[in-house]
Amino acid sequence: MGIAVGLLSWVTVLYLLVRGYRKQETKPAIWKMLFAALVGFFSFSFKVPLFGQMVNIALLPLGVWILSWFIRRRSWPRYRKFAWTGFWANYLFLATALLAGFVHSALYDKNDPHTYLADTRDARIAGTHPSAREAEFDEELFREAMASAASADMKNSLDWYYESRHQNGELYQEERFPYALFGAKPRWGSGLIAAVYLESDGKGLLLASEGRYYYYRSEKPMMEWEAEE
Amino acid sequence: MRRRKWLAVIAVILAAVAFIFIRTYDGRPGAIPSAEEAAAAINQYEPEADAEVVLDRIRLDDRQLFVPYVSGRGTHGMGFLKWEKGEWKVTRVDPGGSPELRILDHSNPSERYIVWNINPQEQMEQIRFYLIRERNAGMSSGIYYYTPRVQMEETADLTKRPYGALPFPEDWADILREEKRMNQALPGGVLDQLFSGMPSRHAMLQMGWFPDYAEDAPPPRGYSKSGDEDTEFLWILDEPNLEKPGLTTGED
Repeated sequence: MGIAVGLLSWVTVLYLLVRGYRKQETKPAIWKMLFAALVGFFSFSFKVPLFGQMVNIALLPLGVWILSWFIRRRSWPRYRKFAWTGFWANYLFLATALLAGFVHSALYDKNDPHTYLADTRDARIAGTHPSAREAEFDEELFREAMASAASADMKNSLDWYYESRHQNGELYQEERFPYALFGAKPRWGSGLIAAVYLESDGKGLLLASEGRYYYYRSEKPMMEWEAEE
Repeated sequence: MRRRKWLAVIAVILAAVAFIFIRTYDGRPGAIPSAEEAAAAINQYEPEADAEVVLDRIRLDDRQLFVPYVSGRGTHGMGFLKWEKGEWKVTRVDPGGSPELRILDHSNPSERYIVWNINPQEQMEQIRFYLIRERNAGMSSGIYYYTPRVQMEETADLTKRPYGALPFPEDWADILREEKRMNQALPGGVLDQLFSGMPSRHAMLQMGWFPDYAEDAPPPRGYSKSGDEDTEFLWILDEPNLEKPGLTTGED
């Protein structure tokens, strides 16, 4: 989706340039116009978090200034408009990025585990800690258990930590999430990637995605263990 | 006139292409050098290596060789050869044989080998290799987080052969790949995080090794080495670095 939005923005900029070019009486060479717009795009900007994403806000039109210094005074009026169009394109990109963000969150629910685990045909489970037992991924079993999975509280994540670290902790020298799930694909077009871990009892799912963490518990185990001798 | 100009331009481009091709084309890898040839190449590259007995010539991929050797002084070392510009060239010689990671392709974590060549006098019976990431938990900027500990193990038996090349385990490669993708997807990128002072919710992945000696082994010695761009070092681990489930707990 990011590519589509970017493409749309560039096409819009191109359209604006062409329109300006047609209206203008003294026309520069087309490649010079495009170059002026490209340099005009260059700006002093800063990054701020806005509506859950990092966006660039352009402040000073550095590119426009540079051009006005380098182009001879006589011919500058021919390029001025296009350089500024390049600068204003920054805001067009900002707007489309925000819009895309809204559309994205409307289309893909980041709190729903199925968003990250839409396609599990090629998924597999790997033990990532010696406290893991030999386990097998069974897609049907996983899907079934996931249907009953509900968002759970992870406010005591620090307790999880100490249970494994402290000598009299319940899980001393063991890991609460000793399995990793590899190869699950997110919903098509979401671009969301997550690290997926399974809890030792098979009923907990921990997702880490884009600096956020999600924890779910299911009623039945989401995995199958090899029979123990 | 105009046509002649164009011809000149095309000739220059062709010459440039040919030049680049000749400079970068490595050709199809030829036959693996014999033990004598490999030893001579290693000694020529590093005279102090004094390679005398070549133990093996192991193909890591179609143009990279791992050559464990024993020197005239009886020490164990490792040589690495690469097929470049039509010949096998020594790219690195390690006069010690402690384990290291050999990177064949920097873009693909699966294309790696753990290699070693240990002197039997040390009486090392096996080596355990580990991929480790520390557990991490807490709360920052209103987000509760938890990163599970990773401790994955592979063992190599040294009683039959003192040297070896272990293909990088697929599960390890998957962890590495995931780590890389996750870091790229972090909002604002890694640099911004550094400067915004956000605490890292993630510990680094580390690779290490743990030697298991025979009971009557001489006291272990220290290991040190230097590498090249295709070498990644493995930490030598200590008991407290490892978690061992199933130990009696809660007594003291």
